[in-house]
Amino acid sequence: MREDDLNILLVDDNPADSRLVCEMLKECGGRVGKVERAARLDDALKMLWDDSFDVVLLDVNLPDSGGLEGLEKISGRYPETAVILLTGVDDESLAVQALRQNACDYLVKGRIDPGLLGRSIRYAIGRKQAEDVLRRDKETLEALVTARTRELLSAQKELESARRLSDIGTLAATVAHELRNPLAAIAMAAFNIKRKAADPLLDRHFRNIDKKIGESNQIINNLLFYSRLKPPQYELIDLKGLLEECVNTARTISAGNNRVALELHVPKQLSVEADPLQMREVCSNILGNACDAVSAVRGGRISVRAEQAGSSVAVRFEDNGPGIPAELTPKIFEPFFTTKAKGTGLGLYVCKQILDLHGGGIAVGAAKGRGTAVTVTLPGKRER
Amino acid sequence: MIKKRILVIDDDEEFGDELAEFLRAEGYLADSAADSAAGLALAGGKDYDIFLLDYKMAELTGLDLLRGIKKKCPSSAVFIISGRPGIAALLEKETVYGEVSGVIEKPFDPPEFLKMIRAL
Repeated sequence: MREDDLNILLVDDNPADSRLVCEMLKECGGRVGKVERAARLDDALKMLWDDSFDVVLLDVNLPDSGGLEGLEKISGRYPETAVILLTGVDDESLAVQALRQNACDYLVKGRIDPGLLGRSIRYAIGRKQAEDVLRRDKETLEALVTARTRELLSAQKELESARRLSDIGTLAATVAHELRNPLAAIAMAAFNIKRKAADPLLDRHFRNIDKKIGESNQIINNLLFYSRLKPPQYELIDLKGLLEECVNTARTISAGNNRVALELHVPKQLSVEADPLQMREVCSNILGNACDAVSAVRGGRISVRAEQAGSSVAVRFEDNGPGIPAELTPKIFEPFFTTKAKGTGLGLYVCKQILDLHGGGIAVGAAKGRGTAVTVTLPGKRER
Repeated sequence: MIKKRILVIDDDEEFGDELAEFLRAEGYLADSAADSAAGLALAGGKDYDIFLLDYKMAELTGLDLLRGIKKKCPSSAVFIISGRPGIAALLEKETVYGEVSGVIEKPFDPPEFLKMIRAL
């Protein structure tokens, strides 16, 4: 038996008819290989389940099925198997219906000869092969269409998000400009009153005004960075100078009612290649968070420690505030996530974006004892 | 010592007013103008040593004003004061960055600002 010989299942309950068809199959000139026989539809279905057949020759009248029931069941479950119906009576309307229901041919027993049977089998196989090719093409096409649709959807999504960001960017730039002008006037006016009043009792109020102006400006900066994060403009930065500047600003801001001890440990000549504006944004955000965290703590303490760590530089910001609950840590880098009553929820998100752009990183964890530790790492020298 | 003359041109009138007062208190002769026309008119009348310009104003941008002032008073120092994001990059793009003595971003710390002016 050659590999491409056809496996044929003959389903007929009449032994004489069955034998006759078997004889004809031997003489039909087709590539007939194994021929198995069944007398009932149930047996036939079992055999089809166990084994694969290319062609089923199916008698219309079986003890456990009549009419087109057998055809329906077989071609429903095994659409790739060719079914040729055999019948004792020539019934035109049944024949038409059978062909409509996917039968490959309809043969009247008394009129079959080996030649006709062989031809019918060849056509049936040809038809199934053509159907198979069509089905595979259809599947390929469907997969292609699905993939393209998915690509299209994701492109559309990206476009929408880009458009949204660009709208936010325009809005942020407008808001920044419109708000910074009055903020500058307020700051100037407050300074002039302070000078005229020359009253130390008013100092606290002016500090509060300055603090709020600083906070408002930070909100504007975060919005700007969120919507228009540009590739870093690399410069060699003296980290000590930059951190001192940021810590001093934080000191002024936190010099209110509550005393906060702010300490900075940076070795001299620690430099990084980074965007100075973006680095200032990162440090002021982290320090701002730390100041907020210790604002309700007696003996609030914030320490900033920078050091060379291999080829990179690490800056660790620690505070002794209440710390971040463990279940919230996965969310803190999400945009607009905040636990504060005020704040945009953009600070840490912007920090992470900036550090990603620099090829660095940011990690938030628990400080020794209690509080929060934020570690920022930056590559010391940029790879070119 | 001769007091330096400063002209603030900013369409935020209250800001110009407060800044000029601050500068007078610091020993300068300071005026303020709330639009470019008034500013240019003042600039034509007196010799100002320092100009503080807002970048964006209704009729002229700070850039046009900068060019007009540089024509009238070539030896004066000009600072751009702006709340506009990325102002330094913009000036660089317009190739006038070299002509300004400094860019100050709003809002600013008055004592820090004063250091810049004094450094002239």
